[in-house]
Amino acid sequence: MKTNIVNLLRTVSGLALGLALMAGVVNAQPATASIKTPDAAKDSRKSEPTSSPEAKKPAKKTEAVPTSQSVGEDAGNYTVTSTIEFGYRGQRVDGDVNKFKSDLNYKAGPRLFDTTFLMKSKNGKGDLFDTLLVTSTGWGADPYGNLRLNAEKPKWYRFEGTYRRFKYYRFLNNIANPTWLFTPNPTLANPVTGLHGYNTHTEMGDFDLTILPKNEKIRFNVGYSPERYSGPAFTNYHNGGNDFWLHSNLKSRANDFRFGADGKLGPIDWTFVQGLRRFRDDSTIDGAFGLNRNTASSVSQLPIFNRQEPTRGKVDFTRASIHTFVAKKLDITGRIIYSRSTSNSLYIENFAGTNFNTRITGFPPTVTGASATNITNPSSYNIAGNVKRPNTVGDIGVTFLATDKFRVSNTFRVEDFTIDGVASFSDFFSLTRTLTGGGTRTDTFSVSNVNSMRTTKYRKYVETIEGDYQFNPHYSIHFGYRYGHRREQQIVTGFAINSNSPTLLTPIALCTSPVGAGCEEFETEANHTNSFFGGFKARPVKNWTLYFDAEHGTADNVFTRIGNYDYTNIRAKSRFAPNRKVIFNFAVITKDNSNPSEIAGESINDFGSSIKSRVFTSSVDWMPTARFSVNMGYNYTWVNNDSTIDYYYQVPPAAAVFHHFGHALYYQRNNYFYFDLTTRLNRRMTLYTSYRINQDHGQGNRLSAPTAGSAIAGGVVVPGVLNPITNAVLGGTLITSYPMNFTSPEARLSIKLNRRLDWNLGYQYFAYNESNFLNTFPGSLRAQNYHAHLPYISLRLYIGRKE
Amino acid sequence: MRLRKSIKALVVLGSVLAVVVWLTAANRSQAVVSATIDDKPAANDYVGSDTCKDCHEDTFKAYSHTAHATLTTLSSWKNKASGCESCHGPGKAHVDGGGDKTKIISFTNKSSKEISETCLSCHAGKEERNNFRRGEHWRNDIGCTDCHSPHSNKEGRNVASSNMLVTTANAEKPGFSTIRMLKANDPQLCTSCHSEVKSQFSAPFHHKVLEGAMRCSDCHNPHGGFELKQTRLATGGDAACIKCHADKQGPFTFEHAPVKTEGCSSCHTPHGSANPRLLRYSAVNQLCLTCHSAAHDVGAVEPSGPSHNQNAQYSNCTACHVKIHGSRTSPVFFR
Repeated sequence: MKTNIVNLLRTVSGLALGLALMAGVVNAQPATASIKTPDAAKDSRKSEPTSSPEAKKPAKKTEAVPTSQSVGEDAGNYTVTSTIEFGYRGQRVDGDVNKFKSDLNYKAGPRLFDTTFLMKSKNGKGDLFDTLLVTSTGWGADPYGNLRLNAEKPKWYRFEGTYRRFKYYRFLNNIANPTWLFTPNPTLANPVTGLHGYNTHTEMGDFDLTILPKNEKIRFNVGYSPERYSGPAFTNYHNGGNDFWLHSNLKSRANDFRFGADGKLGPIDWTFVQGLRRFRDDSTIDGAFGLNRNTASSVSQLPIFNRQEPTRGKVDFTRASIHTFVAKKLDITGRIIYSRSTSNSLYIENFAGTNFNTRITGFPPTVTGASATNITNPSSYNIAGNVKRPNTVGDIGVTFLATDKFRVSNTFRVEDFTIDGVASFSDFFSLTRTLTGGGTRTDTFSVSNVNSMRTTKYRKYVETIEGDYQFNPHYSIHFGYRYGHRREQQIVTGFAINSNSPTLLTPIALCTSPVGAGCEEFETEANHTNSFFGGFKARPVKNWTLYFDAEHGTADNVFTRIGNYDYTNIRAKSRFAPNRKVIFNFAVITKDNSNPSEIAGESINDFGSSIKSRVFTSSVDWMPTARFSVNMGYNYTWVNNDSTIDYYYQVPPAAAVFHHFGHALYYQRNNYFYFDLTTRLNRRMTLYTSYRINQDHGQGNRLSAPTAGSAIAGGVVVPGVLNPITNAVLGGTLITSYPMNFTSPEARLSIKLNRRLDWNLGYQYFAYNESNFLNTFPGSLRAQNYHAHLPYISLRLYIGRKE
Repeated sequence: MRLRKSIKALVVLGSVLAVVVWLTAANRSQAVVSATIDDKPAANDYVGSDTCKDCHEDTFKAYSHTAHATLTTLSSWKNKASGCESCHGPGKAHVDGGGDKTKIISFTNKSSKEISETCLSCHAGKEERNNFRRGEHWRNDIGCTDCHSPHSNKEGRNVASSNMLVTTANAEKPGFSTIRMLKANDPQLCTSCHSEVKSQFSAPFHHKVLEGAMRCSDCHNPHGGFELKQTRLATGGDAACIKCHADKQGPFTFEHAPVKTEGCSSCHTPHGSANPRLLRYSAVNQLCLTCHSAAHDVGAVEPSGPSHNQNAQYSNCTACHVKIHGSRTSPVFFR
């Protein structure tokens, strides 16, 4: 009800503003005649009755196109060119408001649509600045606003600043985020939980000042980038066999400071930057709302819950680079970055309630006659974390300009980092249980300061040699070879703290082979990648340009199965501009990556991952006259991912959980079409219309068959795993996609009231439909469809606009 | 296998070197690389921009409002060629020849690389552009003037346009492109060639680039760089994404290694997607299982059954493994 009233008030105030603006229009129209601008004078003459037959035919006049020289208003030593658009936007959303807010998050209300303000000195000798530019978009009722500022006096300084604000909302109910999670199988989704919902707010900025920006010898730079993130969010907690739904208050902030200088020393251009980043996270989780969505009386409830994890992090980094161009033949660039990141945290969790899961390892002691139900007395976790990550990146690039047509380049990179983390774990539990014979029994259990250590070491070398040859201004080719070597090592020692009763990991030397659970880890992986790439640019005729490039690479190993193993990427683009009024663009981009995994003796079809994508894109930009322009295009994106996976699947009420060796398939068949059409209806009125549609057919008629396949007699033995896999099934598919239709038409009529003022009336419509989703995922309760109507009315004010 | 690769590499390297030697020898007489005049002309070969104005009035007018035109006011530019002749070379012969086009440097029939060399003769030396000669744009023969307009004459009337998507700057509505002498604003300019990302930026979930809240150049350096895809680096050597998504920076006691070693785009499509969280798969379990399926990668253990039953209750991996980018307290990312 309240929302309706608010909407009604907004609509009424919007209408009132509209009426006021229209009144302004009525009043403004006669005034334009008295301005006596040349055009207005001609217009008024046109409307005067004349007796001459020639006079009845208005003279065809050519309209001068404004340029950056012809606009601008005098302001002393400066010229000012500025626009500001403000108004009111209404909104009505039918359907799933949460999905609308997750996608767009627009709101009704007054809005500052966009502003630009440019102040330029007339002779390059301004007092405080020669150029000042301020632009902004999306303030007021918009979810993302930004403000950019650029001020410079080239002799002395240049200041660039950006401030951005994002309002992030997420409350979804779909396959990527199933909300039936904590209800007994196979109950359908609970539409109100919005697992991992967010309603957060981010503010960030970049502010950089360069002193003496045009000085070749030395320039000084200082910069500051703040980031603030806060707001409520939902998260989950899986602990001791229980699942909890938590409400958290996110709050973090980071401040980046940087200072340095760059300049020229003899033939060498140099840059030095020292940076300091300070990060703190003071997010908290309280137990007041939404804890433990399990509703059965026997499952755990923790009405008292509080978690804090104050974290302090810092990154100190140094970056230095040099560049020189020897004898106009040899371009050499070197760069080194060293950073040292550290993070310290203290995790404190306190809780109390009922029926904490009794499967906690080693606790509670088995007591005959003790009830499984319990009172969970105040208990806690206390985990201190300490991590450091030194990181070094070194690059050197050399380009030899052998001739004016041929160049050859070599680029070498080395990257190295180590992440050393230690967590010191403590916990305390106290449960009170009812005894069969009457009375209660209270047991406590605690662990103090056991350490878990994980170290990740990584080193990468990449060597690239490439050349390019320019046959003539119309034809050029490039070609190259890249070699990459990566090595990753992971070491896990200390206690396994993924249970409530941590156990000391067995040293590797004492572990039986193959390595089973409960052992320390010392794992090393390495890969070598060789790739060749090349391409050309051709301009067979003056107005037609073709671009083509391709890369093919192979590796002997990957760190993840979606990493590049045997890949081929091809890109071809065509740009045809028969005249200055029309441009045709076409492009095809294909990517193929096959990964046979590492299981010896298994073919790619049996245990691999294949990722393929095809993108076709086309567009036309046509502006036959200054009064009419159209931009339109069509994209088609085709994605097929097929990975052989093993997964567990059970169909209740069957007790057995089968271990399938099947396929994970993902499909995308997205059609995207758009057009933007601008028509100047007459001297005062311009109409803009646009239409955009993304339509993904996803997997089509394909349906998942997770229980398909046939049992493998005797189970499966997987290298590195001690026991054979029983209940093994060969076959079964998990198929996923996101079939949907997202449409957005827009229209806007802009009426020029006078030289300083435009009146705008617009309407935008969004329609989102994922009904096809239900066909492919029968478990979904409902589609998150919505329709949104966003009418608006606004005024645009100009300074410095000329007739 | 390795021997074959080594031979391949040697063959390629040898071919490249042979071509280098051949071309160097063949073009030994060609000393001029850039379009600028290398043989230092005499001072009286220059006629000054005012002379150019007599014939090229419109171009001069446009040019006179640019940063290029104000260089003469800077002390660091004293005694250097300035104005039109700083790029087009001395104009005396051209003027004396009655406008003979062969007597002045004209860029009409020059390749993008040659034009770029002219620009780099002044604009090189800033870290931002140190790798231009090794960048993707250079490689594909995209030069400075494909994006920048050196005479910077912003034209056009401000007409009706979208109320949500940013539009390119024009004379009546100046923008960043006006002062950077770009032909269009950042997203429009980039998407005029990289049109494949338009559909991604129009998907239900996307980075707000077309809306103007971000620019392509916030994440990519159009002038080249050592990073793949010409991405920028965040603080230190971290990926560009970390700059805004600071909570993913870590370091974490228990790092999900691929975040750091493979990069964010292993799991996310950065420009836009219909999939929540910009994930590469719509169902998160399939994304996870693609790696965590007995592939015995570093740390990529296979989920054990039966608690990882993919039927409903546990099909959303991140419902339990909530701190999937890295955790300070849980080796399996539970908290």
